[in-house]
Parts: sequence; structure tokens; C-alpha cells
Amino acid sequence: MDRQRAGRILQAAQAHGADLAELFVEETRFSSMLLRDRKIESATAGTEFGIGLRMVCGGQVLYAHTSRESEDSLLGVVEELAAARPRDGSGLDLGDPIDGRGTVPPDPARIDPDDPGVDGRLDALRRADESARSVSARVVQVSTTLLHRRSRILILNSEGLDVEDDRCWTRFTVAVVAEHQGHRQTGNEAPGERRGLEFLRGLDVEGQSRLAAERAVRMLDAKPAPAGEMPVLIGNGFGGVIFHEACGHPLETEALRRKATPFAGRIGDSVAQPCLTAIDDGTIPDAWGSLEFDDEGTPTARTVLIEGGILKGFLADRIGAAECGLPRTGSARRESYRYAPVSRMRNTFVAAGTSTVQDMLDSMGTGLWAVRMGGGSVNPATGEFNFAVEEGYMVKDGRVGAAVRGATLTGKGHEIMPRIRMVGNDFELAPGTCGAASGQIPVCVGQPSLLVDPILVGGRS
Amino acid sequence: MKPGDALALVLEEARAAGAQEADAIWEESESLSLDAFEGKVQNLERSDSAGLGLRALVDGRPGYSFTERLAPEAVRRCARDAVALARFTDPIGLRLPELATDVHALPSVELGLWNPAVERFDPKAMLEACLAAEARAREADPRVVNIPHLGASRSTGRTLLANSKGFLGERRSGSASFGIGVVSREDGIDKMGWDGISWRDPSRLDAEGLALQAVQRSVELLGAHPIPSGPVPVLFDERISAQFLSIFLGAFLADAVQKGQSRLVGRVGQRLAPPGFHLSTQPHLVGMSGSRFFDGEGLATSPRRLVDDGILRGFLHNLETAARDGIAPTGDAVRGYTGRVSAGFSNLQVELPGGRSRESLEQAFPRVLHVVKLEGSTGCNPVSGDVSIGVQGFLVQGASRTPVDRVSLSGNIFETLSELEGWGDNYRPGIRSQFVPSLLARTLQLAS
Repeated sequence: MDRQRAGRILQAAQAHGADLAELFVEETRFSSMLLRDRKIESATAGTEFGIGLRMVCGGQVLYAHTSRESEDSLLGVVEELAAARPRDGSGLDLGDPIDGRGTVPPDPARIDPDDPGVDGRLDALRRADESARSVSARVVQVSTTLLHRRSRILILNSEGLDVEDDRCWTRFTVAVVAEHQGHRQTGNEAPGERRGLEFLRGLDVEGQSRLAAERAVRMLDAKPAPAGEMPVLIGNGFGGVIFHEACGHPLETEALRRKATPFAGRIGDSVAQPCLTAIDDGTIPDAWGSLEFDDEGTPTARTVLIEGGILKGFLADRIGAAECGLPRTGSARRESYRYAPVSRMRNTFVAAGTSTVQDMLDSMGTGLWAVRMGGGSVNPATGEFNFAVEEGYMVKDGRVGAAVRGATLTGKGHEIMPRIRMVGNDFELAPGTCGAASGQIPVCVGQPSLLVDPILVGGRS
Repeated sequence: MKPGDALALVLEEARAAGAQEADAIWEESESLSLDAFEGKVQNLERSDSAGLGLRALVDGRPGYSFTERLAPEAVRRCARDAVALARFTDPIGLRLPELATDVHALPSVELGLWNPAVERFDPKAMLEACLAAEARAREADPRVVNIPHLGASRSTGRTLLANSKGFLGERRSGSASFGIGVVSREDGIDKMGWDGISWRDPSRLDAEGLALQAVQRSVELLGAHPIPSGPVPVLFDERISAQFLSIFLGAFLADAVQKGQSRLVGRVGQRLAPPGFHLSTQPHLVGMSGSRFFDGEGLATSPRRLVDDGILRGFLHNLETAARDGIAPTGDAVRGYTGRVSAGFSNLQVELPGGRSRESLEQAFPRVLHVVKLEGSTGCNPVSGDVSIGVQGFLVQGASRTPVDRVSLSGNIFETLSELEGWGDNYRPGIRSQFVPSLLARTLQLAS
């Protein structure tokens, strides 16, 4: 967008009472391919384009988005927002301007699906498909997809902020269905990075497919999980989804500013055992949830949330920081121009400890080893959560027994934290998609294996 | 570009690039929403958006593309993208329907999807509704400690669908909504209660009534505790029965059945539920979210029972799945501009005749768990029908009614349906796309 035109729009917003005005201009190209039952079932490409206009007036956030980019149209939007604004006279000190100017240059090694001659995608999908089928005759269906997204964004604000970024994400997914005697189980893998299609070159797609297929086949023999309170060893990597949902969301200022978090007013308090340290880091190179600048132009950062069991900080966007009296952390994020940015997670993880998996199995007595977690949900206002176990085994006196299916883990995040008794040394990050007030965004969850004692397991037997 | 011009251009460009057939969809929407917190406006949002989606068929191979840039050059690129991608895909063996004479730009007013009053629901009216509701909630019960979710909104939308056989259909809709989430506290334990509703006519939004309902739903769960594990009859309240059933509705998609991803494979003609139980797609319900005269591929819609008197009669089809099964198309295609054509219910309805009052259902067994809240669905397997889900509600034993939480239920949805003990005699109010009364299951396994 032409800077002079943008300047006139931002000035108009200020003239209508905005303490801060901001434009977020985005053009995103998507492409996806799906191979299922050995057929390319769909191939899609598309362009999203739009402009988000934010006016902060006292404690109010006025937000508009439109795909009409003419100056008259945008000035009309400013006037419409200003006219719609109910005036309640409240004030908010937004603090110092964001020190953000710059252009993030695209990585020269980046491969874009729109580049001519890029056709390795079909081959990767077919190799992945064959690899999964070769695991067992019980594999009855394989779906593999390749998803690519490239967003070019421009953020300008009335304080002179001027940031351009060019962001790519590429993800490979494989879903395998195995069947035996009418019973079906699924296995999934979905690695992804914040890179172009060059991500595929270093990825062992056959190996990922094999992992998914082997898990689906193993779980065919699983028995219904038992129910009740018991020690649970939660596996590394995607197991971090529990921390993300049950503690990460309540540590966003978006929850704090609505007083909808059990961690309100608890900085400096002990909220977990001393073995636990948790971090949200937007700076990990190429990680799925990393950013150079957040979506209001603040350079991203590494934020310690809990250190040695003590609550250290929250994830703050600019408004959340101002309202809650906390430092900004470069955590303002949004799915697209359709959303006003709010504080969100980036790559959130429990840091590695010193215990081995065998140490933890040995010390847990009888319980459940949730090797691989599925998805879940949480109510941030009350901390209540519920998660599925995708791959689980019973443990008796340190020995790993039968596979179990249909287990769920239930509890309250802030109550579970102090029950994390041992922290493993097998740290891993895993990519995922997080949905909240500002849409669906790419994040990583992560952790080493964690022993939680006890936790409520829901099952069938 | 104007919608009609953009649709004509993208279809023409697709043909010129080598597509024998194509269909395209235009969707546009506008919305306005306001959130309040502690007596003040926290967020005010307005939006307008439009997008164009294309499916090009080249030798029977589909390629999809979409664009939100709507200048002629961007529309041409959209056409080229779809045709280029079609060379990667496998043929799906469908032909677009010849122009039907009974479906063409039917006025939405007959379906009651549009009420001009929605445009009068302005920020001032939204704020008044929020403040009145907040005040009412706070004075209703001293245990109310926070109202973190409080907001009102309106949205309007227009969809046009066109294909290379000459079909052009249009529908327009609008609605106004209000929602409130209340947290109450007792003995250091918090419970959230929520209520919200949408209507075509904003004057039907009773914000204060919804506030009282949300308070009631919050405080009634205070003091909840687990009950011992074991089998228990379960009444799924009409607040959550549709949410519960919808976890497994993928089983009714013909695409899932054809790919072996449905427990209903090979079960047409067999009993799924007790006699008297009907589950249908109801595209012509006046004013409801899923109501439409033409589907996502331009075919005429019609009401149809998929489960009739407890017997499975069929599945939801689009043109592709109907062709694969060699049956006449059923008009269940669903499509947005960014995605592929799939299928779905045009309003799901579990019909009410034979339904019973809540009291009668609660007293059907000496001990019934009346579930009013579901906590996530990720422990449920839509393919196998296995259920494992956290719930909150009440244990009803004769005249006694005690709140319950921190328990989970497990079982299998298809077994639950086949043994259904009864169902309720009313639906949740408001405009929606799923109409399911409360459902009484004979037994599920409870864990605590």
C-alpha cells in the first residue's frame, strides 16, 4: 500500500479520536493437495486479500476489515467505525510506541509452489502412501496432504511503525486407518515448519507415514482403558497440548483482562513443583509458531512463564500489557486481516528435566502411560480441561503392559500443575493449530515426558 | 467486479483455458459486533468481505481455486489456477446437471432468511442490551463474580452460485445474536454458565432473560462433585443433545460410507433406533440457518428422512457420490468459496412426535444423570462411534437433584441410539441448523 495514502487514512482515524490507529494489509496464497485411496482427490489454490483497520480509543478497540482498498472506501470505514463508537470516556495509557521498522527479506533458499517447475509434491505424497501401506496388510486407508501458505503483510501505525514481513508455512500430514475383524484405529503424523516447500527436502515422509501406520496397527489390539484417578506419564512432544490448553491460555493477557484466569495476581507465587519450567518462545528458527515481528509489529521474544515452579509472567499484546500493567512480549497474533490481534501463544513448552522415561515408569507404580495425546479442550475461565489419549499403555510396577484405547484425561489446569512430579529429559516440539478469539494460528506445543500424579482418567472398563 | 460479472468471467475464462464444465460460487458478508466488560465497550468490530470460488472440470478431473481479489486480472488468474490444478487430480466421473426449470433465484423471503430489521440492530442497541444484561446478571445472585463473555452482533450475507450449464441462483440472509457467559463462585470453586441466541428479528433478543438463564446455569452447578463409577442412564439435555449427536453425523455422509469410514456401511434397511424415531434433513424450515432451496451444486433441495421410524434409509450425497453409487442426486451438496464441494444436512431434525416432558424422562429410571454440559469431544471416535467425554450435570433420584462434575461417560453412540429409551418434546429456541430434543440413553459407563 502506498505510504502516503496509508498516512492519510491513519490521520483521519486520529482526527476521529483514535489514540492509536493501525493498518494491517495482507495477501496470502494457499495451496493444498490431498491424496486418498491412491488418488489425488483434490488440488486447490487461492488468494486471500484484505485490510484490517484498528482504532484504539481509550480502553476501546474498534476494528474493521475489508477487501476494498481504495482510499475513499477506507476513509468511509474510518468514519463508520468512529460513528458507531459508543463513548464512555474511559482512558488507557498505551505506553511507549512500538519500536518497529523494517522489512523481513524472504529466505533466498525458499521454494514457492507458484515457482515454475515445482512438481515434487505429487511424488512425496505417493511415496508416503506406499510407505504406510507397506507396514501391514491391516492398513486399509491412507490419506496424505501437503499444505502451503505464504503471507505477505504490511503493518503501519499512526506512531510511524512500518513493518513488512513475508511468511511461509509448509505442512505434510498423513492419516492412516488400520482394520482388523471390523475394528478400526487411526494413526496420524503432521510435521510442519515455517518455511517454503524446501521443508520437504529434509523431511523423511516415508518415515513419518510408517510411524502413523505402525501406531494405528498397534492400537488395533488395544483394550478399553480403565477409569479412575491414577498416575499418568504423559508422552513428549504433542503431550504439551495439555500445558498449552490448561495453562498457556490462562497466561494470555486476553484472559487476564477479562479476569478469566486462575493465575490473576499470582506472579511470584509457587504454582508448580520446582522441577517445572515453562517457556513461550517466538524466536526458534523455522519453528511452526515462530515470528520475526508479531501482528502489531513488535519484535518477537522468548518469554519465561514459569521458572522452577514460580509464576514469572504472562503473554502480552500492547493493549493487554497496558490494561494489566505488564511488559509486552511480542505475542500479538491473528489468523488474518479478519481479526484484531490479541495475545496468543507461539511455541509453548515445558523445558527439559533430568529424568529418563524408565525412571518415571519405575516410580509411578500402577497407572497409565499416555505415549501420544490427541486433541482436547479447556474452559479458560474455570481451568476445566478434557483430553483424549491417542496411544496409551497400562503400567504395573514399572512394567509396560497392554495397549488401551478410549482414555481421556480430565481436570483443572492450575490444580494439575502442582501434581507434575517428574520431568523427563526427552524434550520435543510438535506443530499444531490453536483456535481462539483472533482465529486459527500456527503454534508449537512441546514438552519432555511428564509424570502427573494423580489425574482423572476416563475410560470404559 | 459485481458478483454476476465476476461469476460470468471466471466461468468463461475456465472454459477458454480448457475446462469443459465449471461451477462457481460468490459469497459476501457484512457484520457488526460489540463486546462489553464491566459496563464498558471493550471491542467493536465491523467487516465486509467477498470471495469467489471455482471448480473447473477438465476431462472429468476437478481443480479448485478461490480469490478475494476481485479485479478482472485476479479473476482470470483464479480460472487459470483451477484448470492448471485439474491436471494433477484423478477423474471423479461427474457431469454438472442440465439447467433445472424449478430452481432459479428463488426469493429468500419465502424461506424467511432475511428481515430488514436486522440492519437496525446498531451499536447503541447492542450496548444497551449488553449493559442491561450485565446489570441483571449481577443483581440476580450474589455469587456472580465475573461476566467475561458479553456481546451482541448482527451479520448479513449473500450467496450466488452459477455453472457453465446456465444455472444462476441467489440467496440472502441476516441475523442478530446475543450471548452472555457468567462465572459464579462458592467455596473458592468457579462455575461458568452460558446462554446465547440468534434471531432474524433483533427485537426477539431477550438479553435480560438470557442473562438470568446464564446465571441460573452457572449457580446450579456450584457444589458439584463426582459420583461413584458405574453404569447409569443418561439424559442429554436439549442444550447439548445436538452437540453430542453432531460428533457422529459424519457417519451419514455418503463419501464416508463409500470410503469405509462410517459404521453405517451396509446398514441401509436395518434398524438404528427405536420405532417412532425419525432423523431428517429439512431444507425448507422457515427462517433457519440451514434452510435453502438449492444446494451447493445448484440442485433443488427437498426434505428427506435418513432414519425413518428407526430404520436407516440412506445417506447425504453430492453429485460425485451419487454418481459413484449410481443413484439420482439428492441435493445435499455443501460448499463455501474457499473449499471443496462436500455434503451435509440442510437443517438436521430429530422429529418430536412421541417425545416426553423433561420430568417424565428424568423419572424414567430410579437414578438418571441429566447432562447439561459436555467438555470437548476429542475422546470420541466419529468412525467407530466410541464415546469418551467429560460431562457436568445433575444426578436425579426421585425428588432429589444434586450437581455433578469431574466425571466422564463412555459407550458407543450407535449402541446408545439403538437402545434409546426416549426423547424430549421440544427444541432449544432460536435460529439454528440442528433440531434435536433431549435424548434419554438407557445406559452409559460413568467414570470418576
